[in-house]
Amino acid sequence: MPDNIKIYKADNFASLKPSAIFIDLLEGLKLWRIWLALSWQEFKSSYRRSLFGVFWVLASFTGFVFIKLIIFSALITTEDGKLYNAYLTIGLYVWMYLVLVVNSAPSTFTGASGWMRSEALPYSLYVFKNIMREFYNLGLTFLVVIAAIIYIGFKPKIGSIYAIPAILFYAVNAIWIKLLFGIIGARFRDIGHFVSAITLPMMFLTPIFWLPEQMPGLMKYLWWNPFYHYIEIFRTPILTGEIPIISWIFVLSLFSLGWICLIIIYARFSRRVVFWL
Amino acid sequence: MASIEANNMSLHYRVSGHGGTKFSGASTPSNLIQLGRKKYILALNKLNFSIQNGQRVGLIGRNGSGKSTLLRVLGGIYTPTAGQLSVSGNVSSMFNMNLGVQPDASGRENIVIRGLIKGWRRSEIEVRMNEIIDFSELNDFIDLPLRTYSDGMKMRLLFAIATSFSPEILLLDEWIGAGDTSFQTKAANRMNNLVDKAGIVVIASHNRNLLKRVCTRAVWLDQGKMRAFGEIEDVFQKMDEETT
Repeated sequence: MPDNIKIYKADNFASLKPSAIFIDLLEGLKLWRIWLALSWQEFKSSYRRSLFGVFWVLASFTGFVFIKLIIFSALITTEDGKLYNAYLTIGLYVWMYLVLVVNSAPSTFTGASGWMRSEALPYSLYVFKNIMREFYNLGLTFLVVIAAIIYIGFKPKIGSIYAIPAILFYAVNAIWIKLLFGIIGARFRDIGHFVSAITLPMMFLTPIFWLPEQMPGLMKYLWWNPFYHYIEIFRTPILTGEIPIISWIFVLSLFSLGWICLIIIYARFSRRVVFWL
Repeated sequence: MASIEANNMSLHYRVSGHGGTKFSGASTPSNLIQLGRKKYILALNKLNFSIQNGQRVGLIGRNGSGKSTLLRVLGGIYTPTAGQLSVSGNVSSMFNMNLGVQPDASGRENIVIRGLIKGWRRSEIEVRMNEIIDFSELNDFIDLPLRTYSDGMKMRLLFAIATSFSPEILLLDEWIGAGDTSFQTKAANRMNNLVDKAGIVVIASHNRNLLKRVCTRAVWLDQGKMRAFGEIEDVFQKMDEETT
């Protein structure tokens, strides 16, 4: 059975071919039954022993959105109150998801150390598992967004369908973020703490509560904040029906840059990750 | 046809996240290496061996001699840092009762997850489900979360899953740490059947009686080096002569 023979060479330890990451991804995709089962298990078990279970996700996000709506609508008066309230709700929704993705990225592999030290599975499997688990949250909290949009009385534009590619992009984009930061975060444990330390200040440096037009001086610098563009690609089509071309160019450039870093880092260091756990 | 072959295989790794204390020098084990401020563990040092069909091999040696590391290299978890290893055959392993399980999921759910990891289809898992539950003697515990199991129960379940579907190569690390005598007999029989179907079993253990009962050959590891490889009685004899 020649297909069963596995040869482990020392050359593979020092450096893999640049294509190694794609082989890993392909093998990981083939094992979709495993990551689907694991992600669902983890999602269920995080609420398993609580009385209200998954309603806690809804309750915490609902509270967050409605309190922000009450406070910030009173503080900021724009011509169109409905538009501002929808802007705030959708911005918060995407922000919460992005923070979830980024904050958990450095612990992608350290969090799976038990599995990684007992089974030889592709690294992308743990990435797909976490992406799925976060997508369950994204889907569930979308119910709150719909409720809030109805409550506000905002009518989404036909162009809202352009927000769908953004959602798909979030899932694909999370692959490089989780693999790259997962590998770096396993070696340098400070990365995880650093990422969670900057997300709170970043929340106020990203146009979620305020509009870019209100802070033209500050926006010259904050334009480079990637979170702004990630939010824009989803928020703008719903609010105005237009496609934010510039923001798409920004996030796709960052995507390419991230992948180049990942291909290099994966080829060079991926065989060592298991020793760092 | 299952086989394992190692040529000059070594494995070292850097100890990360550790302070700058110096090793004592004279009494430092030979597999700990310090280069400047960096510290390395030479866990496996130029191993050469080949294991053929139908062989049951015991890994013996003191704590920290490299037994678990060698099993993980055979399982494809660690990549050798020098030399080469070729493994031919489906590998099934049981390294640690607490790794690779979902503690909050029931025994049944864990069978499904581990089955999927071993590459079985859902339908194949369903067919094997009752056999695994019977063999593990868990009865009604199978629907309770794994965290409520004793070590012995977890061991029985994981052993039943790992040996179901007769893998060609079975790797076991200290699996006998728990479990009563009647189960041990059952387990030994199941492993014998597996080896009869032209498979390979590699077991790391400190339990001499168990190894003598189950294994035909042994590898003696000492600080990452292979001191002996051959018939199990001969290896134990050599070990006794040279360590006392």
